[in-house]
Amino acid sequence: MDCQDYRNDVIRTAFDPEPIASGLEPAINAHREQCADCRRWTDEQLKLDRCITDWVQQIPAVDLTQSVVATYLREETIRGTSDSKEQKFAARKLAISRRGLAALVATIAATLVFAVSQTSFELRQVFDHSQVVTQDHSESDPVTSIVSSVRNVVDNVASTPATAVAKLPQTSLIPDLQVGTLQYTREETSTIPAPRWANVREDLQPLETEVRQAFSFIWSALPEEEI
Amino acid sequence: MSENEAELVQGCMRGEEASLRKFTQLFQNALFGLCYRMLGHRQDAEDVVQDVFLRAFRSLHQWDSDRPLRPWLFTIAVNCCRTALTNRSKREKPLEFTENWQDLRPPADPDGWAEELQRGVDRLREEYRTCFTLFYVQELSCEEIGQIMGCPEGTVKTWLFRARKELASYLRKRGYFPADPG
Repeated sequence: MDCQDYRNDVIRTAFDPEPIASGLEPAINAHREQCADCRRWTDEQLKLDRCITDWVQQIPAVDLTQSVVATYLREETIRGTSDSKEQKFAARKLAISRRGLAALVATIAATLVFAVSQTSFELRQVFDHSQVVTQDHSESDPVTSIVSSVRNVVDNVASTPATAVAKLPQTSLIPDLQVGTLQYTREETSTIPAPRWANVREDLQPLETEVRQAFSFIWSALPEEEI
Repeated sequence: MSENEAELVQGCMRGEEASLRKFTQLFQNALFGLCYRMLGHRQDAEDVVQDVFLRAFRSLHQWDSDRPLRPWLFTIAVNCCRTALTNRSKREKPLEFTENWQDLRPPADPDGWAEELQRGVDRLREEYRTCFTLFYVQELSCEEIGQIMGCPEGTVKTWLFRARKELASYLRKRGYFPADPG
């Protein structure tokens, strides 16, 4: 064992009993007996140990109980207050978001109603116009095919009876019709069904139900004080 | 953990003042000793200890009741001390007298050497300082220190070895030892 090994092993024994346990103690003692430098060094280490002991013992005692507990309780009180404020704020925020949602639903519903009614109106015009065209050009095959395709489209919105495009008799070649207003004045027109308003209303019925549901949701979503 | 400690923790979690007081009284000296020796400044140590208790009270619900309470508190304290040391190093410039510490006279009375040792500890690397303080002030084992510092036991032993060596070297330069053994 040389001096460096001796010093390393001695320092390690301060916090690790392994060098002693592993049978190094006789070698350590033997080296210390024969090396004056290492004896002096060992004395230094013992002195360092005493210094460390003094260092540990000179720690003053403190009593922080009052300040710690008072600070903690004060913080808890403040936190409790701010928590209730946050809860109020969150409730208000929720009400605002509900109101926003309700407004959005109402807007969408209104847009939907407007769009469907507009589409129905336009389709009705196309349908009526097709009748006029058919009546005016009943002999023309291309026109008939166009009218039939338009009729297919219209059938999706309002179920059209087969008699809807009833042709005027061949004899009635003088049309008493005004395009756009569709006024039937002749007796033969009795077979032509009435305008499709009933069908349109029927089609709008599910939409009306949905709008009613949307408005009932809005009423339920709004806080009582808002109502 | 003992039954009493478990009850104490439950009381603290309920915010009972008596439990909070008892908890503080039970651990304040150990925590203050650690912080005082790590920071080397009484007022700073008191501030950090208060912060440690506040953090502990707020985090008691996160504490694993199967583990001992003391090392958990020391972990919080070590982290708080590290933060305080980092803030201090950013805030302060080294003082002139600490730059020229070799010109200072060695302390005349024996008690003065403890203060001299504290100056030596203040010069240690933060890891060395932490494990040295935990080992000598709190008398924790290398394994416990490793758990607190989040490093292997062997690393703790190496750091302790180096810390002690550096302190001996510092005190030798300061004239604590009669002659240089070489």
